[in-house]
Amino acid sequence: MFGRRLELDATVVAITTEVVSEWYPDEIDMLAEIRTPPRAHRLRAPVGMGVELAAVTPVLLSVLTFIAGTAATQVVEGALGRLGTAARERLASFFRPDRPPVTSSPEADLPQIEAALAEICVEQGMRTDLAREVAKHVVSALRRRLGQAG
Amino acid sequence: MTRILSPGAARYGSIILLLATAGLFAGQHTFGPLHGRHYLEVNKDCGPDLAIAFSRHLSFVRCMSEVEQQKAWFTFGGALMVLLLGVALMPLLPYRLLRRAGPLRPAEQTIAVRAADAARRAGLHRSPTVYIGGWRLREPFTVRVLAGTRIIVPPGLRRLPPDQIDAVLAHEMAHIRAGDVTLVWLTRGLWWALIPALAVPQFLIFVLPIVREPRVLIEAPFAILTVIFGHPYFLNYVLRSLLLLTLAAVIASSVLRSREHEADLAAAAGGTEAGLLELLHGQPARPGRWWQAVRRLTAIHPCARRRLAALHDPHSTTELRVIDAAAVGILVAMAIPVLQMSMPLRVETMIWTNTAHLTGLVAGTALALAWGLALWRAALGAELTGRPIRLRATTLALTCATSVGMLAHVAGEPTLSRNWSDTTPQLICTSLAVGGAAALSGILARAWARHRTGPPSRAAWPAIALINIMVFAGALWLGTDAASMITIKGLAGLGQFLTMTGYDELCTAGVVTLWLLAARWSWRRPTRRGVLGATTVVLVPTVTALAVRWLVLTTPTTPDWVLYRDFLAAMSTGAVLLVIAIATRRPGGLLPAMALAPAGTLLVSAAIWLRYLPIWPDVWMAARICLIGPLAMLAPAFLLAALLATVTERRSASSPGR
Repeated sequence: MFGRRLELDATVVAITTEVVSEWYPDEIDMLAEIRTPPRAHRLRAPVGMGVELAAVTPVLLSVLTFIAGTAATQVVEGALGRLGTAARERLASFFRPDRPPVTSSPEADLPQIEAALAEICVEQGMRTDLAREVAKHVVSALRRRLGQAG
Repeated sequence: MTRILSPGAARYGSIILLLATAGLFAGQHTFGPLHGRHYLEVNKDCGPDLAIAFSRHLSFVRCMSEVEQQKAWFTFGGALMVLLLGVALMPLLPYRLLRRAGPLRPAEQTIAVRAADAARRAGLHRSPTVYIGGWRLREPFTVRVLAGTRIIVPPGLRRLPPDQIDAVLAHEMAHIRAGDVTLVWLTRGLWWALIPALAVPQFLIFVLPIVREPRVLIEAPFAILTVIFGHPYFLNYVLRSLLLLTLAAVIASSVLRSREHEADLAAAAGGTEAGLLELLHGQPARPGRWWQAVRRLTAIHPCARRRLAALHDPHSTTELRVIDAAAVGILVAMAIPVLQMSMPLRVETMIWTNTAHLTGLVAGTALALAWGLALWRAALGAELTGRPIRLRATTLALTCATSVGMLAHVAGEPTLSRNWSDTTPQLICTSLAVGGAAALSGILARAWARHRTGPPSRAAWPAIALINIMVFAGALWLGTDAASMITIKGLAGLGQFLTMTGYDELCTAGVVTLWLLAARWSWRRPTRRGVLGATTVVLVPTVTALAVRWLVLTTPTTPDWVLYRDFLAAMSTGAVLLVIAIATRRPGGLLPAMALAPAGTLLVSAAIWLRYLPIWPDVWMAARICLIGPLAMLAPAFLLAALLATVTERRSASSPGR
């Protein structure tokens, strides 16, 4: 009735697979289970711990899908809005390879991107320390992609 | 921190009581459309005028007994149905949650071993089974299903360091140990069971006639809908039912939030404090938006900031909160009118089968356990921290909430349709009685906490519960009695209530208990000057009362007045001492006056007994009457004095250490 739900973006899946298989291999089965971009989902169980202990894979897929969507629409807000223009274009270029190449140095952009990623991971329910760690791994994966592209 | 009893379970008990009593109401209203016509015919045949004439009241009650018994079957059947359905739903409702949290897999051996250790540390006889939920699951939770207790943890738990995993498991075990799993799901089961029970009467009244004659729906659908939705009975019933269900849900969430703090503290006491602190510090700080204020009402967990604050200052969780007082007042007060109306009309033979007595006992016990224990626990915490216990604000909140609850109760239609002059005394007297009981309990609690040396033993808490049941149930009995007298005789009934409460022996027992407690807890090593002062304080009103009695009140106005004139003179001696304590706002509060007032009263009583010694037909019976009568009159005086003393208390006077 409302059409098919969006499938996961290929770049998003590729980056997530790379990070998860290298750093969080116990979650690799999860990748096969998640077919659509995960959304924030709270069960509201009455007797529980009341703290969020999200797994890395769904949060990472959710965060990267959000960034990919932002790259496509050019609508920026929140943590991404605080990025400089060059860093934002650099981030968009990972998900939209048809865009013109970014002239600025990646070493100047990537730390900004890492901080923004960590911030969005926290917003999606990830613990602060884990969010920083995951953002670092994602940026490493992006850097490798840059190297391959160059 | 000293392990002290929590009133949280009793607050769940109050919610369960309210939901079960709403089942009584639903059962009674189911009786109406099925047998109401027959009931009214019998009532007409028995002669309603008999109900008014007190002398012929027994004949009326006997005449109505058959239909009253039939009504009682429906009434209690309604409550039983809600309870049985609620108990049946208790282990079934969690399956929906488990399905949404799935697919579930048994946890790895390392987590299972840690869970077994946590269960052992928490004192559980059997370790619950731990499962890992699906990728959608983010929060650990615990349920009890038909196969047993299950702890479901998200896959993200594996990312935690071992001490934080232990903290999570210890928190869940604390919930299981405190009985939260059973209480929470029983409350939910009853909540869902009440919805069909409340819908049955409306179905029988409005839908069944349409089912029997469906053509009316085709011929005049809008007229039918207008009749149903425009009917005052239907609107009143639906709105009050919705209010009841909403309040029960919101208050249950509030109680659950307070239980989270207790589970955190129990987990921290089990040696996982460091892990718990790290875990809570790592939680993302959500931005505060204005619309999230509504969500906080139904939130089932406090935010991480509040939980951290409670862990750093454990005694803050025992502090009295106005919102808790209001919640307890509304919950119990909403149950009172339903309980009163549910009992069948019968010839009263024993005190325990009387409607007012049973209602007072049930509601008083609920108040004692849900609020009385909280007062004593707060007093204990306040004594350790030096912070005041907010007795004035919470007592006022409890008093007002009792009025609101009695007005908003689900069986409100008969109350509102009656003359306001009939219901106002009940509202005012019950609220004041509850407020007085809370104030009295608070005053005793502070004295106990100040007098205590060392942590209280486990055996102390049942005794405290009994004292509170005596105070709250007794206050509700007296409140109902006063309301009945005022309703029948106007303000003149208040005088009759004071001189003949109908609970003479019980009131005397209560006053003597309070007297002994007050004397015990206000006792300080007496100096000669102190003893002299106390003797003067007692003797001056005693002598004055006797002088007034024998020099001024010489001619009795009515035959009853002969005896009550003496009793009032004795009681007024004690009352004067209470008034002096309130007026002077002594630092010791009301307690020393409560310790001296019965002494003054008994001195006057003894003088009266001795004065008429030659003419008493039975000397020992006269001694018993002179002992019981004036002391019983002090019971409402104690309640009123406690309420006045608390309401007019200076802020600093409530702080401990004074």
